[in-house]
Amino acid sequence: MVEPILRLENIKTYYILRKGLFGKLIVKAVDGVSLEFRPGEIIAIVGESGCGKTTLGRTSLKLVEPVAGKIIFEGQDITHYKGDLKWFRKKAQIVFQDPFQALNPYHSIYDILSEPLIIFGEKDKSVIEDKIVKALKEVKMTPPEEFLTKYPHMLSGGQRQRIVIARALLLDPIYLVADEPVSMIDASSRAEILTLFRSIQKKREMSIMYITHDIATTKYFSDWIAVMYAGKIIEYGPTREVLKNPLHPYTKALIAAVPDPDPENRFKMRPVVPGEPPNPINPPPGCRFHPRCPRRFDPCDKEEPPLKEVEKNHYVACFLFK
Amino acid sequence: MSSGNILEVKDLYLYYKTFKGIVQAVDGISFKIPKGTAMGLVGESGCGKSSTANAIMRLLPGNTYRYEGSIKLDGMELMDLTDDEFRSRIRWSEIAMIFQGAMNSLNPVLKVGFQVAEPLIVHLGMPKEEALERARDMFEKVGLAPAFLDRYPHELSGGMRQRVVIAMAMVMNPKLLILDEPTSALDVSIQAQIMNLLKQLKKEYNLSMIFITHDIALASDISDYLAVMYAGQIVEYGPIEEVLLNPQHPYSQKLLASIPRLRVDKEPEFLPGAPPGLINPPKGCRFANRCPSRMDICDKEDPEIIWLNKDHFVKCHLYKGG
Repeated sequence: MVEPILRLENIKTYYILRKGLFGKLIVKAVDGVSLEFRPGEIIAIVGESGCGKTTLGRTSLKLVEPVAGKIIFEGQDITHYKGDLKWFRKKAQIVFQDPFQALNPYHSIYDILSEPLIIFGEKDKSVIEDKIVKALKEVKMTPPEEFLTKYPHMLSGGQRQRIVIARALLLDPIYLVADEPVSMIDASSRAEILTLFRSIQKKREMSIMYITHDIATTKYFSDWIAVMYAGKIIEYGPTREVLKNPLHPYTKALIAAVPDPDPENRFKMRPVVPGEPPNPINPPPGCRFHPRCPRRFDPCDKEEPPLKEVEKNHYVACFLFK
Repeated sequence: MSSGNILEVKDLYLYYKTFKGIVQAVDGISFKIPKGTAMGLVGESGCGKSSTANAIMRLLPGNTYRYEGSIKLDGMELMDLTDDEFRSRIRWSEIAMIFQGAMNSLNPVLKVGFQVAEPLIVHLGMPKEEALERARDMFEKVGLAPAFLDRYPHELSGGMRQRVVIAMAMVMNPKLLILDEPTSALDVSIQAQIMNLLKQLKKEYNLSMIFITHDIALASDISDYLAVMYAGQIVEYGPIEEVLLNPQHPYSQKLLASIPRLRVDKEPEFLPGAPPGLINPPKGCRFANRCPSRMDICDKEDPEIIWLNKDHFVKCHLYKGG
């Protein structure tokens, strides 16, 4: 077995909200998540807004401190590491959702791409330029010289996101969080960006946490899927297997809710789960999905189902699978 | 007199004047919507979908440079009406619209029940009690308990607020409802609930709709007709069965092929390049620079609309004389 680049062990990340003068509320954004990121693999974290997927990504990059659990990066426990994290920042990068906000409008593409290199101590101008040109070629922005003097507003959404990706790749990270990297991009460019991203990732043997609400894209852009609901992983397994054979009632509903382009759709109602995801301040007791679950039975509202391996590499947290 | 079409749009133009030049946002589009049917208007961001809706609602910004063409609602030419007549007789009472992100634009200091009743009070001079009674009925239709009438927007979830917005648009019993990305801010499971509600309302009220979205699969969930828009023009229009299953315009074909499919084993294709700017667009076909079937004539002449049958047209030189 290959050593994982990053291991998350039972991560819990809570936010504290003040309420009134003395009261406080605890938002359990991530509540006990364990994952292993191996080289060359993409894990897709899917779930609806508020399920904790973005917080999980941020926690894995030490942008938020977890209240419990361990973050082990290249074998080193960095959960509460207080020293200089520059070495870690270099190896672990992020691609943000919105390419319209992630780039400084007053900086040229050259400025944007040279900044991380300068911060990490590169002084030689020709080295910087070489690296930038290489990075632009890698994300298929050719000829690179043409883009160096441009500003973000002169680029399309897809081109901007390529710049964001190129910037994240400049420091040769081995782990990368991609938080909804194509949700703001037009449909016709999405597949192109994801395919490009995938080939770069494979070539570099990078590990990616792909955070998304769009299950259809996980099929092409991930090796594993972790489905999150109210701060917990409720199903985990190889992407194709989970998509083809979802076990948890929530995963089933989530997949059933994705429409295919089909003229027959309009004649039938879509299968839906009633209700909405629970409030993470006060999640229901037992299985967090039980109030909406079509198949709930006796233990569901009392005990929390553990995540168990029910088929090879396919884990589910549901009492239906004992 | 009335031809069975609730809306007939012919050669509609909407240009804006900016300091950089004239933006040809809507450039001579034509389509028709038979009574009780929905037309999906799909295309990439910036292709003029929302401008088309604004042109029909006559919500024109101060920098409007050209606004002309024919818009017939149930046989009546709307372009002949003065602004006052349009406001008092058409907008909201005959044609209502759900704006993109409307659920986040509810007035935070007014109870949602009153906000739904307000158009009745303002447009029809209905006494407040009666209007609130009607709002209560409308709440029931959109699946909200009467208790929610007295709530404020911040007390409701996204899905509930979207239901309030739908109630608000429906309370005047309009003939045509324009929906601009009504579910783009919602999670898939909530999106499925809202789509089911819209289907139900469409059937119950024999409602006609324009459904604007960048997501073709979503459009196919409710539309009977599909109009594909590219760079300010409708390049293909027809019954959804024909356009989805047998698209004729190269852009429609490429757009459909780029959708990641969850249930079909097919890699999404890409459409390289980006749409032209709408200031000084190319004089020939606007899709020519990205088109796989480009011919000499495509760079020189803007293609005419060619009717393939009485309900299906395509704006492409490939079909000329054929």
